[in-house]
Amino acid sequence: MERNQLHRLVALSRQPLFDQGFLDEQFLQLEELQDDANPNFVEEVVTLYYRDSARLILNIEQALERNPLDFNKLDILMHQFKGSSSSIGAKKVKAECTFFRENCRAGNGEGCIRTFQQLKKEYATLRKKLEAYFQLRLHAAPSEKSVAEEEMAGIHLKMFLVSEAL
Amino acid sequence: MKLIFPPRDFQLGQAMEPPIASSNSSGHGGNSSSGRGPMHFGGPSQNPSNGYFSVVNRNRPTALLLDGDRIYRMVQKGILQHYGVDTQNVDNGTAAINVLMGNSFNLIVIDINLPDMDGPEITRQMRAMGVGSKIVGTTSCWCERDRQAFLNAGADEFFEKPLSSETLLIILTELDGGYEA
Repeated sequence: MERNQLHRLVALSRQPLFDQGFLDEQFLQLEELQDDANPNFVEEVVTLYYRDSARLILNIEQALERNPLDFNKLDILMHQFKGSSSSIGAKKVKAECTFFRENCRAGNGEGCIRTFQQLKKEYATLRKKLEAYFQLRLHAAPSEKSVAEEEMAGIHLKMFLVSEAL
Repeated sequence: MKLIFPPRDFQLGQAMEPPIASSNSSGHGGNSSSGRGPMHFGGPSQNPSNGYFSVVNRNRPTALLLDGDRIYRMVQKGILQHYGVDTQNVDNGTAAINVLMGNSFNLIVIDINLPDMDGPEITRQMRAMGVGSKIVGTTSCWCERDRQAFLNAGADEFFEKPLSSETLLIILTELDGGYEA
């Protein structure tokens, strides 16, 4: 498959992430920051996000196990998590953070637990989708590939697009 | 929504009117810490065709970013630098005060929650020190109470994070009075 086609397919593979509400325009801002000096900026930021936020999620889980719940502490933890998530354009994750904070402010412990479960699902789903996207970008990156390897990269891209469409 | 990014070699500029009779100027760079008036960078130069003076930023604007979240600092610094703003990051209020002892910035962006104190408190301390920079308070979840707390402490504006390109353009334009993209 020609390189231009590969690049077009990579761009197409990204579109469902926006159409389905997983990402917002902040992700586009991150991509604008990529250049020859920082060709993998977005992937680096996203990787760091999942690394740092794992600790925050653990802290929130531990805070949710306390009795009685410290809603102020939970609110502060979620404030930070929302800030991180919005920085990478994680739209659905950010929305769940907002619901969580509303439950904190209402003193609704069950609501907090419920929204946190949903938040973790969205967080994990986004991670899988972004990992797949970055893998595709890697396949499409210029390198010394054989014709067969380029064809395989194209097949992977098409399979990704089909799976996203289903 | 169209994102607007300036070319990397943009210059902030400000047209001043009417023509100034005297040609002397203080020509000081960077921000004035004596008050929160318009910022001037470099000296004025007169346009011979219309007599108006314009002040062109010959120094890159500077910003101090205070936020406890590493991801946000990394991203926002990248965006500000993309706009040509030399940006320094700190992750707590005490570190920010120490940095301000020997440096001045055109713009200071402060999160509502810092590890050692809240954003309004650090804003109050900065103003008490005589810091005249434009101060923008931020939060990941907008609420009127936080906005009032920041403004009462001496901040100039308050926004929800992340700062959109439109918001940044407004902030940077207000820094120099005439942003040229």
